[in-house]
Amino acid sequence: MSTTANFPTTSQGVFLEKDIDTNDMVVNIGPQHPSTHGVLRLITTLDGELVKEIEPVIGYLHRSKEKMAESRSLFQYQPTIDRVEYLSSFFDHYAFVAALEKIADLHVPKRVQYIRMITMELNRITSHLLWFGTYLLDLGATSPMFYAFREREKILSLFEDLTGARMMYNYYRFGGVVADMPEGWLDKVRAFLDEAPKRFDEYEAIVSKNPIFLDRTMGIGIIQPEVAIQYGVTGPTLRASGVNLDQRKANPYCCYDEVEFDVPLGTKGDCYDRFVVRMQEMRESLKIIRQAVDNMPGGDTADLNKRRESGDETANDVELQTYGKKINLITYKPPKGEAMVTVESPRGFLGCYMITDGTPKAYRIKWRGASFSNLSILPELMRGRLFPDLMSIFGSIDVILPEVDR
Amino acid sequence: MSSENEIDKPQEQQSETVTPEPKAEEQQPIEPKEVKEPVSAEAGEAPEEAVAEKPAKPARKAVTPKASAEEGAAAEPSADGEAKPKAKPAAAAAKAAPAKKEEVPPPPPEPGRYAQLLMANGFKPVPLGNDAGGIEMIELNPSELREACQFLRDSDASRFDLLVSIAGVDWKTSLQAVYHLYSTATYQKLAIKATAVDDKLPSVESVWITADWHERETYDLFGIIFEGHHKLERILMPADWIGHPMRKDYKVEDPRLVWNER
Repeated sequence: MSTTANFPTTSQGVFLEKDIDTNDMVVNIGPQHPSTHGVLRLITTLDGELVKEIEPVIGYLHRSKEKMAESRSLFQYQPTIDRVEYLSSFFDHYAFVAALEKIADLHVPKRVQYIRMITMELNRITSHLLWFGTYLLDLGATSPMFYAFREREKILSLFEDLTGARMMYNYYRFGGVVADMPEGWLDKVRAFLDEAPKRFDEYEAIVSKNPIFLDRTMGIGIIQPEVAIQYGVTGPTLRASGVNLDQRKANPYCCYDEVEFDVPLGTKGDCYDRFVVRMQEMRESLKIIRQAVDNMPGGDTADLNKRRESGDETANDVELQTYGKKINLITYKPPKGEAMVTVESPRGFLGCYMITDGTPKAYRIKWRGASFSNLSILPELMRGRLFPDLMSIFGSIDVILPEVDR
Repeated sequence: MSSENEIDKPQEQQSETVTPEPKAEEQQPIEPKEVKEPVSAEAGEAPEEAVAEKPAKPARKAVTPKASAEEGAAAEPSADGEAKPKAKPAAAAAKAAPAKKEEVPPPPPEPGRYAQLLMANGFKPVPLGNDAGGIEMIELNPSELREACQFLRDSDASRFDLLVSIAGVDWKTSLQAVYHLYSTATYQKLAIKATAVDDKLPSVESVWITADWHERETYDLFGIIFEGHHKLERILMPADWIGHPMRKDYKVEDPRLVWNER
């Protein structure tokens, strides 16, 4: 910001000269505040306009998701995990379902893996778009939100066609998905893929060269890579600091080893880099979706149904089914075992640690929310910074409070 | 709808080929069969399944093992040695499958890559094999937990610089913490388990700063006290909450909060 230039600076940041006798002021932000993206309380100690200390108080949204798993069968528990991270709940479901598939050694057909990959990447775009809109809203720009929501609506309509729900999908099942894609769904996805890059260009044209936006993000909230790793920060926030860590490349799950894409990296690790990395990630997601749509085993459901009707036996191959093996979900008892599955969610490592003991219920389910660790770096980032930078920095690490509190 | 029909086809075909019997009898056994199929395939060893399958088994018990043994003896006297061991396990398995399984202890898992690394450097890890996802698991004594974690973070052979999560587990007799580690250099994963002594474990906050919040969460929900933590307070539950809710023996006494207890 231009105002900071007038203050004398030291190596640790910007400091005011103390010519007036001042006392520290404690400002309580939240829990109810429009810019906290949920219910977060920040106890802020201010010295003039400088933040001396900031203490996040979390837990207002704690719904005991982990305890709930111990009183329900896995199948009964599954619909509730949409609410762990409601902006990208396909990732929650993938971690949960994949953990059990590993424990029970269930086969997942190729076609299902590809459907999962498409839905997850579309979900990543919706999540980043919502972040884009709300982040600009935090910085005072109101119109980008409407643009972002226009694209988001289109993807949500695609999800509605596929799953019947716009937010709480509950679409994956152990070893499969609920139902195959509706006929012609892939063409709708293709239509979106053709249109989206132009829209993203539009957003970047509106925002990326805006001097106010640049002033409020460039050089603000720099995270050093070593510090980020120490605090357990993952996802685009870490990659903006230049650390090449993407689970889709590093430990490929689903079918990510069969598609080609790049991992966008930042250089400085400031708010602007985090913005750029997320915008580029959406384009990479489009790349992945296009490859998955083109290489979808069995192709569109209409073609597959025609082949089946004409008596083509190859169309009934197990890899083209929506379930690897049908299990009775009401009576299903998974074998004893444990598995930890971490997926690359839009915010970083989303982990599901599951221990089963041979009963229909899980003995223990632990959720590792990416936002939980990402939020813990906020006090470190805000120490010695100007108070107006708080929303710029806090918004740029993209925290979802329901995932923090679980 | 059409796709569902396609999936059901193989199952129907199977049931037809297995039991080509009159329709009147078929309709009754169909339901239990559908229940059994997934269960016996997925978790056949569990004792409850053995109970459920009892009505079908006695007939098989009496007929099949004996017949096979007699046939083997009659047809090939020279292959007696082979025929008998075949028949014995079959009979034993049919009679007391769960009991027999428990008698044979599984062989102790061989130390994996990181267990060997720790052993070579003077630590005493207990290898626990791999979990279902192929992540190596080791158990560490709480007394050497912090040093071992420090070593795993700094050693060039491991470089576990990212602590993914700390998961508490209540095994009813003891409390356990599971540390999931990740290396941003080699992309390897590792799970460390440590059983709390008197509900106490050393804090690894000095190794990974992120352990601060994860340990607070585990303390909050399980009551594991991490010694050496600079500020061990509740993080998810309200500060005045009594008890540790993720423990298996935790009971909510406030009647207003109980809504789903049976």
